[in-house]
Amino acid sequence: MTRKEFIKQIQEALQREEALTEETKIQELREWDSLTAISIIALYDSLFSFQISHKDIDKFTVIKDMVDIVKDRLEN
Amino acid sequence: MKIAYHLPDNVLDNSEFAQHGWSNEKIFEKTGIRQRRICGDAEYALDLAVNACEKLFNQFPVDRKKVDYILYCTQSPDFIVPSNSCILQHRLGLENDIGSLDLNQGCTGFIYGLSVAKGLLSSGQANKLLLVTADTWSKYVHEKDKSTRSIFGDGAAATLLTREDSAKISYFVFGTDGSGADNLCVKTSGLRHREMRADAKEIIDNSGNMRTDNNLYMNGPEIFTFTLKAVPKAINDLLQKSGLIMEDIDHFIFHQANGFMLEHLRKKLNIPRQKFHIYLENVGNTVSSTIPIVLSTLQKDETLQSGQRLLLAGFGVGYSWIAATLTI
Repeated sequence: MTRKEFIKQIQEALQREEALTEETKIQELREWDSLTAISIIALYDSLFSFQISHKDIDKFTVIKDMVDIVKDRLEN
Repeated sequence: MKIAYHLPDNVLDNSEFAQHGWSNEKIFEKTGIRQRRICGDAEYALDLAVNACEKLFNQFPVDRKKVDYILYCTQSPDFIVPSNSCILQHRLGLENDIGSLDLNQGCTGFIYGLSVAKGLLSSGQANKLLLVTADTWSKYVHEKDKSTRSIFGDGAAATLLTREDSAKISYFVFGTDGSGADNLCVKTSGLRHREMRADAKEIIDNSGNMRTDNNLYMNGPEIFTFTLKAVPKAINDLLQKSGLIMEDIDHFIFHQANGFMLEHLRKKLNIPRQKFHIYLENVGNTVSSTIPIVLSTLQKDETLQSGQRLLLAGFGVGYSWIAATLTI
């Protein structure tokens, strides 16, 4: 999976119509709350068998951070 | 194994949360819950427990005078002192020459009850054991905390176990990790922080939920991460211990924490949909009673057939997790 494809998956998990970019700020996503955080955890687990922690999620500021945490598992 | 359950009358449905920005459908999609039952102000766990036990005595040919042990599991006790199981003995009019014991576990409570019951029954310390689970977590929940209010419902279940039943309960695996205690807790619920109760301040989190230290706090995402790490491993360990493979199990019944989480676990474990039971749409997460409520429902609609093999799994507050195989 490429970075772009993963970002598309994040967009779908957030049930968001507008496209996301690496620069999109997490804080500005109106879809973001404790229920969507659970969807995001499920996404990492399904795609990468990677159990992301709540602390990791709290550190995300832009979408790029969400991608970088699994960059070793993504194609460029 | 004979099971009956009781839910309080008051219904809290999803429309309640619309004013807080969560639509009916969003809550259902993310939790699998449409409504929960909530105790009245003067209704407590023991009241639900008594009702569940009376239903058991009415629905099955069970002589209450033959019950010789009560296990009562709750994390929302009517009293810390005395033991609630003693009060339950009296309210049910059970004999005096019986054993009674309170268990303090939440999401793992029912399966822990089976574990203790198996020990008592198979060693001959009891012959007819009443395992009662009852929780009223709604009383811990702040009315402006939608993260917990949308999930938890109140309820109680009563299960009668005999020595024959105990022989059909096969293997257990256990898990404990108290490092996660703060992620699902009521900080002032016991004596340690009792001086904080009087002036506990209301705080609002990033998602706009309000609570005090006297209320239930749940870090849902962290609990989910814990579940993803603990449950698949526990199930693999249990199958290995039982000498079984996934295909040998007829029904998988997990603690009904949240429908979205359960569906994710089901897919992760490759469990066929028809073998995996989700039943929380109209009851919510009743903590210690979720599994017996599912079992009772599946018994009533004859989904469970004699001789079938079940795998039960509980996980949550503690952290505590447990899984068991048994034959019905």
